[in-house]
Amino acid sequence: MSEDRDLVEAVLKRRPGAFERLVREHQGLCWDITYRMVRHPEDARELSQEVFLKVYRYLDRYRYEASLKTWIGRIAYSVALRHLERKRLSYVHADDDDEGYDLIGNIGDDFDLEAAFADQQTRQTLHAAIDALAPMQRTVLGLYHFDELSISEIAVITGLAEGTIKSHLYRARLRLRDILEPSLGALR
Amino acid sequence: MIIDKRCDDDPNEGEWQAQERALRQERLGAASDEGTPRERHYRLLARVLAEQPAENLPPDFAASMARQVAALDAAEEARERQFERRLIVAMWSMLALAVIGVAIVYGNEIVTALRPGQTSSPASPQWLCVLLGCIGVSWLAQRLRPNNSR
Repeated sequence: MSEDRDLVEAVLKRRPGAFERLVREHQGLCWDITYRMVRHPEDARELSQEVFLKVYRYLDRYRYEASLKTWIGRIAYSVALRHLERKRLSYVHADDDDEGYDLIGNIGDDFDLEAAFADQQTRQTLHAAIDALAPMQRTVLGLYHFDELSISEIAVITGLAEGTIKSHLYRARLRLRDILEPSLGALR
Repeated sequence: MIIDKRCDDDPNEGEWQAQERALRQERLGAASDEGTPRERHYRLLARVLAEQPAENLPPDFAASMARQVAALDAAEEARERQFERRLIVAMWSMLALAVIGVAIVYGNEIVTALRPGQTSSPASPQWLCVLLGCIGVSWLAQRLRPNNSR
């Protein structure tokens, strides 16, 4: 928190290089949220710019109640959510055309976990299954697994209850496991 | 659009624990063939979920954002300076108009009052006392101001 305070004060005092450092430290989380939410690289880049312009404009309102990372994550999530709302896309439920995503259909009968995991095609297929999840579930999974945030931090970022986050995580992982299980049954 | 922020499904505790255990094992680098099939499936998921997204921000993103906000700051500063200049011109214009107005309306009275020998001349002792009193009050107010650094 003290590092956050130093960095924020440096940016507010317009010290050279301070804002660039802030962006560099937090652009990964921002990108992870916007990209996982909108799934469109160009849109996600524009949204990331919007996020950091907002951060710069409203940094004097940051009150150190949460970590700077969480505060920026919250802005990124709000910006991405508004983008989805503008485009009238559902962020809680998967797109209709994704609901029927057939991972199993893309995996042969002779599927073997070890060999398959090494296989780039299978990785891509699994990534595609993750992409087919609803933006909310995909983002929550990314924040938990990739960014290694705690459930309470994700709750602050998304504004959802911790129980809801846990439920999203549980259901998303269960769904992905259900997709994998029939093909991986040989391992039992 | 469906906006359903609640999610009431109660996770099965055993399954949840298996998911969490697999995540911990994956982070600790457990061998991929260890554990139950369920844990292995979840470990595979954890591994894929922990991979970097295929796309990313350009490498110079932070520098370009810094340039953007510097340009915004410069534009904002220029706008403020221009506003200040216009405000000063407007105030001087108003002052000049007021002086002209006063000169037109009260010009004769002022000239009469300034003639020597008039009892109400600004140079008379009672006006000098008033002037000194004003200066004294201003000086005292300045001294008593709480954030006075002098």
